[in-house]
Amino acid sequence: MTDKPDTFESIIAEYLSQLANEFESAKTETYNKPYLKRTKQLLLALLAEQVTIVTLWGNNTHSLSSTSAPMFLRVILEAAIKVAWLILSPDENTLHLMKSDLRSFEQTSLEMQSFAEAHNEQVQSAIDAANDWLNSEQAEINFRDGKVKDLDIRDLAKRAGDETMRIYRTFYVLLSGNLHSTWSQVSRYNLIRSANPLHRAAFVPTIKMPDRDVVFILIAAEIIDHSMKALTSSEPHAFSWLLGRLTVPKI
Amino acid sequence: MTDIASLVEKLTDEISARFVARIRYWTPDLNILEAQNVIGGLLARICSLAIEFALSPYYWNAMCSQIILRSMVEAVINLGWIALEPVERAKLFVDYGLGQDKLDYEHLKAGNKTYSVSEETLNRIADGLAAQRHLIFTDVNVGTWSNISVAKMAAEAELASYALLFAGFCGTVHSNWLLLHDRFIRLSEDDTPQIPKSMPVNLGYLLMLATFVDQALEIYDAVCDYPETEEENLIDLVQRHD
Repeated sequence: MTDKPDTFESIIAEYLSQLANEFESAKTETYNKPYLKRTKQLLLALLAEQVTIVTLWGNNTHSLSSTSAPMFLRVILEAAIKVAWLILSPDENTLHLMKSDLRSFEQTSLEMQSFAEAHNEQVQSAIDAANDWLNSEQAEINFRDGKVKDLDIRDLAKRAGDETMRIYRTFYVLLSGNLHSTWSQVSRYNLIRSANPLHRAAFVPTIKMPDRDVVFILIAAEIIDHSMKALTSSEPHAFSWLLGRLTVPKI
Repeated sequence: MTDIASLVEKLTDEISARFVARIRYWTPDLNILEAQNVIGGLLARICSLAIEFALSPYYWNAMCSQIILRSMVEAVINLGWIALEPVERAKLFVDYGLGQDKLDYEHLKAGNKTYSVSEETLNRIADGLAAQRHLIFTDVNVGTWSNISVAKMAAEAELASYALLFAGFCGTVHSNWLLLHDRFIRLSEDDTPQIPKSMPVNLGYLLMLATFVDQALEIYDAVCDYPETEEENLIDLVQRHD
């Protein structure tokens, strides 16, 4: 009997399995810490979000496309930077982040309310549900009073330390360019030089067809590993395992 | 073929066909080349995102769809705002993008990243950037490309409802606590965060996608003087299948 050769799918399945185990370890360890319940929930929800995104990819390798994959990576990166910053002073920073989030959501809810009234839109039930939730949160976190300093991701990364800042500098600009469809992204993927010599420097717009690149899952794994290290005392292995396996990708 | 599969095929074929028709009609004007590049490029970007989204049913859940659709909404707002003053605003758009590329290159050159590249690769990147504009003439802007908020751009471009969608979807992109709670804690039996086994699919996101492409085509047609067509709105095409 011979071992089956590794396929991309089997490697990813094994990685996700290891990642799920690491999430459970992080959860157990975090719940044993003397943090407030909300702090534990926020830290682990941010980690759960990162793991969920990469799991959606793992089960659908078609999604490793340079058109959309960087957007998901950008979400993972921001969540990871928040984890790294939260862990510096968990309860205090959690309160700050939650207040900021709740205020931001309330502002959006108010704008939607005025829009619904002006346009007679049928979104009232959703707005009512959101307001109920905000009021229930207000009972526990007094987010409506006092000033809350806006959170800037670069600032959070800087405060979180050299390693987090290094990850920020490695990926943030590139991934944000994709998320915001900046000129860097548009000129790289959606314009090709015209073949007509009379057109000089003209570019011809082009639709970018979906492609796949394994590097995106490696980047995701590297960023998630940063969060895992922040939340566990034992060294996580899933990323280094994946890195060793995907040096010669077989998609 | 299922109804959904046939709808996706029809929708993606239509988006491609409408885009190609406009590009065939297009001729470069060397006096406003930058504006043409930006406007055509943004339309191509919106259509690329739309096609990829439509072809990927595993994106049709609240989390994934809001991340991609937010990007589409932002591109539509950018397109609408640039279309009001194409030459000046396209220049702002290009300047900002080149500055971001330069910033990323400088971090790579300074060894600030988790990986490094050879001297030869660095030179190749620098040459690529200099082909668009010499690096010493490229400013890095760490603010917003337009110097005003997305909401203000949307208001000026008469796309106020898009600004609201953008703000709504921002919660997902920036991991707002409300959405984290809703997706990873609310359904948990013991009130602890869980990784969901699946995420419900919502075909309503396809309707949004169709609306965004319709809007982008409308803006493009107006600013590029594309002849009036008898094309059925994509939103109507989707709703017929609904």
